[in-house]
Amino acid sequence: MSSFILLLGIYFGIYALLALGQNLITGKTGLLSLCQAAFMAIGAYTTAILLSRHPHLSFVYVGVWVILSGAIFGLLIGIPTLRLKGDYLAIASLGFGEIVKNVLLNADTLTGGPMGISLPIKSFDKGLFLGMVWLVVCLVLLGLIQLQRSHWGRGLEAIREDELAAQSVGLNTPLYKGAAFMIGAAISAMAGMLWALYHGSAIPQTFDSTLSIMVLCMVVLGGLGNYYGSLFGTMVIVVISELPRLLGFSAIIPAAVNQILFGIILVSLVILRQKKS
Amino acid sequence: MTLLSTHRLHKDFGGIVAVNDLDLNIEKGFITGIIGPNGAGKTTSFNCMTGLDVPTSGQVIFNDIDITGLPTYRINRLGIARTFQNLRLFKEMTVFENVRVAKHRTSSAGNLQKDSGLWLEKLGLWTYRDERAKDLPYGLQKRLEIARAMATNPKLLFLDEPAAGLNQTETQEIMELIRSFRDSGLTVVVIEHDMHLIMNLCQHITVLNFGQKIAEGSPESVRNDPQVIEAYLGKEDHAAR
Repeated sequence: MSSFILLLGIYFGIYALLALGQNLITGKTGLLSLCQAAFMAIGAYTTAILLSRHPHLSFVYVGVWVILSGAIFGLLIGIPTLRLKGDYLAIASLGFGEIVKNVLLNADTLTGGPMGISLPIKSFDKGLFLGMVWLVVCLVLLGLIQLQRSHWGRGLEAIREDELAAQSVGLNTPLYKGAAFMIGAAISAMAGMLWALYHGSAIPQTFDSTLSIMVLCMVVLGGLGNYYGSLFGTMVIVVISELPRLLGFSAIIPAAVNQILFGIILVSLVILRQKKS
Repeated sequence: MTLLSTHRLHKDFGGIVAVNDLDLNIEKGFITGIIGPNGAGKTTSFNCMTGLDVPTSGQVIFNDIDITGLPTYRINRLGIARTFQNLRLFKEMTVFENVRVAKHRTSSAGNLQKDSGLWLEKLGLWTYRDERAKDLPYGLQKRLEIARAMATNPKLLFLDEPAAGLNQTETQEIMELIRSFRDSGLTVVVIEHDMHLIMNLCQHITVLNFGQKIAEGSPESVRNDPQVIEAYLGKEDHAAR
């Protein structure tokens, strides 16, 4: 049982990173992007490819590459979509997520295809790993809050409020939005690295677009633009989705019920929010 | 001396011509008014001059620099600020933050806080600094938008209907504010339907209709120009019917 609680803590931390990255992009900057799963996959596969070829690389070294590749892919999706707004961006980013997943499934020599890549590392002590995950979460949270207080952070908020007006007071909005995408994607890539390390593998099925929707759900639940809220939202969603297993009902309640639940949560939140404003 | 000029500025949207070969000269240190019936191309020409719309053809020259088609933020950094016909404030941010975001580029990091505060005080918004922009009364929102534009320290300020929706007292206050900017060396261009404001504030008026300049000159000469009267009231035989 205690080992299950530790596992829950690890998942909570990894999902929290995804939610924080999403919140920077969507909550702070107002860009409705739906490809956190793809950014996470980039991180996981960067880790897996590096470690499967060079098993003795230090994690810090791998981490740097993960952050870099996450940021590059963030920019890659960022640049062509910088001109898109709202729903259009959402659709384009969903498409990007699908492209990434299909490349992972089919580029066998690099990604191992549907079987994914196994890491030649021994499994971690759960307690230790939990500490590691939450250390990363805390550092990211600190960084994001620092960013929020800086001129950059206020610039991002200004873009969310009114992009044209932000431009008219001299903000280079493409630069800001590109940076938001890069940082958000890098954070998700770190989540992917932790995921791959913990499971000792990277497989494409993990990084489905339903994961991106779930992450959005966490952020909306916690309040757009509120980082602590994202942690709360993540906790609620993780507990709900693991509850059947926690209570030993997993044989009776199929996993797909989760997705129905996320849908219900998302729809009711949106309706509730609209009433408030 | 000319601060900004357009040469054969042209903008069409699909088949609709919004600005038609417009030649404008904005004199430095003056308040210039742009008037014309609805749909005359006033806002579109503003947009072309501030980078929100890219002109189909023609040129915009500011301070001897060709700024045609530059992105809005670059144009702002060169010294042109603007307000919008329908308010575009950072609604969920505080009054203070609205100004601080704009002031960032023109103030050193150490002075940003202080400068933003001084600026709010000067414009009579200091009392409201912690209010969210959307919670301000309409008149003060208009004032805040001007404050935000001016915080970027422009040489040229475009005001798109600064008095729309304001009562007489507020309009008077805005006029005094604009005059005080002019007296401190700023060049101002105003679009406005309030003729009292235009006639009292502007030294020079340009009249547009169907995207073209139909008259320009001092308020008196424009007021009596038959073409202007026709644009606003229609031809005499139309009116007689």
